[in-house]
Amino acid sequence: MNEELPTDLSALDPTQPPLAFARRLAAVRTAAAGALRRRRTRTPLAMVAYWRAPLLAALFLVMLVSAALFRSVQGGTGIDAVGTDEVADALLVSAVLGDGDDAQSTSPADILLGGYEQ
Amino acid sequence: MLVRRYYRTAFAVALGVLGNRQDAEDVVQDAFVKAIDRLEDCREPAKFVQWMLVIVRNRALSHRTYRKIRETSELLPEIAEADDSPFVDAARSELADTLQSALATLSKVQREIVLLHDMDGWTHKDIADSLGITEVRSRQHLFVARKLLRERLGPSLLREYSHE
Repeated sequence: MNEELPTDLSALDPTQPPLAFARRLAAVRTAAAGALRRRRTRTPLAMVAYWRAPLLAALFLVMLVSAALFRSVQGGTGIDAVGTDEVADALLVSAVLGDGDDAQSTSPADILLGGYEQ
Repeated sequence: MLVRRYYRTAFAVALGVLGNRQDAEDVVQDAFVKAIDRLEDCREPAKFVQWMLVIVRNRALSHRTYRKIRETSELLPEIAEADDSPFVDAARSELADTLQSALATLSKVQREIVLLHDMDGWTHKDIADSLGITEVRSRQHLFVARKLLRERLGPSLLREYSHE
């Protein structure tokens, strides 16, 4: 089938004719002269300045990871504290109330406020 | 040296996006200058072409947006650009104009694929990797693009090769 054969697009080939291509290359060379000069004269300070964006990005990443780590450590302590309170609460209630009918009519709040003794 | 080696590839991509070879040449030149300026950003030298083509594509898209704004505000005729063509040979230039007009009727992807494959000799695998599509899709686009080009240009205008 015709569509399986390549089309001849050589008239659009920018590398032909060689003389025209040489002119194009010269134009690129002229346009790039400034960039090439900048590259050659790049000082250490300029190099650091060039890398400021990646450095800032890395710093931001470190801050994010640190914040996440700090939060996870804090979160762990918080869970333990809640767990201890719950256990203490349960122990207090069971110790003071014991098992029986009184346990149903008295809430932990009553115990704390002294309502049980009254 | 890099410019000499990859000029045609960069041009194929720019022409694929823009559909106009004068604009494509401007974009290629601009993209090479930017690439030289930011060579450190190319982390993998083995993937220089892909990195370079991203620059070319982005520059071409920006140029296209700029051109649309310019055209709507000034309504510049296309012919004016053709007058500045750097092509020396008149017949070649005329054929190039005809091909450019025919290519302009294709979609951006079809244009880029047919230029990379038939002008720069890329394989479907490389095209698929570069454009983020499957090889099958690349083949389909090429098939349709060639068919449309033949319809627009006529079989006599296109020299066809009996090998691939």
